[in-house]
Amino acid sequence: MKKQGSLSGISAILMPRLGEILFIAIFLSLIGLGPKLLNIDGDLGRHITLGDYIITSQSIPTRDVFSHTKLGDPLTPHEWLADVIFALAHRVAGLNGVVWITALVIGVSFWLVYKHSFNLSNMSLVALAGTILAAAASSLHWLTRPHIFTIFFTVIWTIELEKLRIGIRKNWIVFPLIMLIWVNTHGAFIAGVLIWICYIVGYFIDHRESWEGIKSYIWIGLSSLAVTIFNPDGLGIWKTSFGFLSNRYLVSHTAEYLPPDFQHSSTWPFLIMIVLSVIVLALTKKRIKMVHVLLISGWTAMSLYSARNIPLYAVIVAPILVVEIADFIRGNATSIVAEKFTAFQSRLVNIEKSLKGGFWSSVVILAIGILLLMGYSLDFQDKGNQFLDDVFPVEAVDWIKENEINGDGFNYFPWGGYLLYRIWPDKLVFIDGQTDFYGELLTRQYEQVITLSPGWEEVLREYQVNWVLMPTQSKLVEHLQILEDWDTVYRDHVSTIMLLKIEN
Amino acid sequence: MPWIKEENFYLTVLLLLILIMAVRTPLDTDMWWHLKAGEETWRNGEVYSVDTFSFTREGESWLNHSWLYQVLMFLVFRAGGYWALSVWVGLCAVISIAFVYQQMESNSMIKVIVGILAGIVSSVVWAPRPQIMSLVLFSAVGYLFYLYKWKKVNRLLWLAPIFILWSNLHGGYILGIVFMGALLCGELLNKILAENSMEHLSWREIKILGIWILACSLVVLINPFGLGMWKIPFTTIGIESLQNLISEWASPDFHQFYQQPMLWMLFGVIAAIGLSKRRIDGSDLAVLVVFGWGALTARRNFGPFALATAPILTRHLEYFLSDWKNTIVDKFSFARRWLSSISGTNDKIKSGYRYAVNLTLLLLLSTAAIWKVYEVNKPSLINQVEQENFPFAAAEYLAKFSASGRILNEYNWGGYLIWNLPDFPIFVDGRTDLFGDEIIEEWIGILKAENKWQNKLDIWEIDYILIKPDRPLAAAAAETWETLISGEGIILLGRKE
Repeated sequence: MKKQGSLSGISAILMPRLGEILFIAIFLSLIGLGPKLLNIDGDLGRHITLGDYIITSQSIPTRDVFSHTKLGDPLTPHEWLADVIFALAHRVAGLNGVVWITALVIGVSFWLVYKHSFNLSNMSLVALAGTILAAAASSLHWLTRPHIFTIFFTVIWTIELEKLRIGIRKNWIVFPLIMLIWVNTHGAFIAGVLIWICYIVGYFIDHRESWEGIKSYIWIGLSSLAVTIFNPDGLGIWKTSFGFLSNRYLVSHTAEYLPPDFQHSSTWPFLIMIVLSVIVLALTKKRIKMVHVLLISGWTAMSLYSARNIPLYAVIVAPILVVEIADFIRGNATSIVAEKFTAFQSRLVNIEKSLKGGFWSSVVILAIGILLLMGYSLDFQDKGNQFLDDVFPVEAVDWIKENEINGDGFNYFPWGGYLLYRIWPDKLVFIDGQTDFYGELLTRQYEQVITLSPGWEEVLREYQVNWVLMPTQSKLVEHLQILEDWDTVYRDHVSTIMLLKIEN
Repeated sequence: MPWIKEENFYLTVLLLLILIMAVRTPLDTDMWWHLKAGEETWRNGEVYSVDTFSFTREGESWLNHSWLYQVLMFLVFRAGGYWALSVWVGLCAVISIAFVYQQMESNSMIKVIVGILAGIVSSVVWAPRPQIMSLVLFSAVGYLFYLYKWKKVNRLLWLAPIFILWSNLHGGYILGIVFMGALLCGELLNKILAENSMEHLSWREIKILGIWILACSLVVLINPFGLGMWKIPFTTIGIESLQNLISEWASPDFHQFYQQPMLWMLFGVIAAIGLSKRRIDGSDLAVLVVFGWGALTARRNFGPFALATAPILTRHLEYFLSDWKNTIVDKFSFARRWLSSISGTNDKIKSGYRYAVNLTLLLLLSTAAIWKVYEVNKPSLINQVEQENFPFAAAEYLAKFSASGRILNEYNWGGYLIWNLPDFPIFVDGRTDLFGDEIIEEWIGILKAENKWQNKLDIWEIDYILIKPDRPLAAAAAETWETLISGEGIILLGRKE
């Protein structure tokens, strides 16, 4: 018998599912925000350059080839696979391709969050609202960076662990496979280990009598930890990750690791999620599973410590909240509002389940891809997907390319990636956004120079700096301009190039 | 020694520990202008409400909502100097935690641990400033509501004097109103969820609470500024520069270790609620959400968050731990043996011996508290802290070589200069509600040496610039102004003749 409101035939193909509408909305918004994604962060240039290097040389560098300050030092290319993906997209469609792949990865991630939430709660509207809130919370870190792959892997990792917990998934072989790709894509694969710890601890506490269940989790952990060594740096990847995270100076000097500032409206969806999770924990009549308590409280604390964790918090916690809210609504179905909502939701679910889905999302992905490949500008402000000349030293680098400039330089840290993108291998950088590689000593020396702290001139001498590319309004430029040893050879409203006279 | 019962003993230990934590060298950037305003009010016999400290707002009226606190602080300072101020702050912290302790429901050890955590979280606002009185009165309101709801003892009549006092001590009285508003909403939530429990207020009790909120909102008008007191919370929050300029108004930075206890407390309360089988009460939920939100938005709300959350945390911890204790005892025989062995330990110890140990511990803690008071108020330490954090040398220089003059100063040094150099009016100080965005933004522009900074210095007829040397203005003015003093973290420039 046909269920109430269900569709069939061509209607079932052409009518999009709610999750599909959500995917298309997120995908198109990100395409529209392309220039913003490209220009908020300065590291994309490095990722594309490294990816290109790997594709061209067909080898993954384990020693630095980009900076003159650490040239030849051991390097942990923990994001090499993401870099290759960005470089391939760039080869195909330039920066348009990078924006397209970013929009696709993020869109798919949140489509999965919705699908998972819907499957668990059977309430599409609650799942939709929860996923939109999660997307809003995580949007503050939607950038063209390898971190987007960690959002994606966190989603599928958590979904699979949850399936295992409730008995849908029977075997654990998928976990090491996911981890193998994750560990080669982004250094934040450690998030997967932390989520696994929450699951095994939570499972142990909730089901102390079930040794069989625990065994699965142990195998998942052991096999996944084992495959983490299959990366270009082997065990060194753990050392690099922990070395960076345990270095208070580096962490506190990396913008994305700073705590969220709740006076900025971009963090409010996260705050709303915290409040919602407290309310859900508080009002539920049943005892919440320990694993969910650990995931909510642990990731709340981690996200409050570092805003970078907010997107991961959002995709982990949203399905838990959706399920609890759906249960709460069902538990109060005696009230008129809840009763009507439940009935409406039930009709909607019938329609949703009769739809095929996938048609419109495929059309949109392909159409946008083709338009971007043809060079159309699809962003909201019609700027085109490019590095903007009021953010990066676009014209200054043009000048460097046109003019002979000798020796090594000193550059503004956020511009390092852009310089690599434009003038590597002709010029090497002083520093770029790969803080975990450059380390505390060089970062401190860089800070010493830009703040003109005692000894800054020795640092420039130590690295035989012959030219400086810094923001025009920077202290260093203002100071060098009054020194006789330095000449201003290029200057615009964004950047200034200063040349050491004696050497030239 | 019958007073050393277990409950009294634990409470005394907690309060002594809080006293030891709270007694500090009482030098705060805003303390000085509060002292000066208190002195002016005391000497003139009328509330200091027209600015005479600055040249930017000279002669303008100022709603001095903390006038009574300033007078009290001045009298305390006059009577006993720095040590009296530090003891005053310590006692305020102790009273606030004592009220919270009375609201906790758990075994004594957990109450002490949560009390210490609440103390650590709220310690970021333990300073000789009016905020400390808001902490005391906030916890007192919490205690009255606790009696009303959980113990069915109506002492709400005390709310009237508390709020009259509060509106004359500090503009933070709004915290009390918000607190009661959250409690009311929480009780309404209990009703909406159709939860019938003896713990929840009846409709009649909710009505009484609503009437008291209205009454408290009205009695705060009993102050020298009348209706103006209602505007204070909104005008203060409306000043945008506050968030950028004053760290305590900024969102918390959990990379700073001293701010992390708030995170632990939030983590603890979320986990305890999730793990305990006890369903949270509506008023607990409303208070947690409102003050949690406040604390994450501005760290000056850590204090109210800690004081409001501590009782909620203990309520759920108690359920969770007793449940877990039973589970562990059921499952693990070694735990059962261990618990039974330690449960008999107390009985085995002779009561006389236990009293002696307890008394020794109390004596040790009391000695530590007295030692701390002495140590943090040693003149050499006060002098060192003053020199490290305030323009001590510049103040000495100006007092010695000049009779008067207008100073363009660092924001945080304004109060210090008001107290130490009364004949040198300043540009700005911690009274943000007086200066508003207009003056503060102009001050920021001058310090950044933005366009026409020289003209602004001329228009305001500024004689001295006393700022940190890393300000762009210090470099910009170096050629046209004479450097009078240049030291670590300080530069004093005077106009060239």
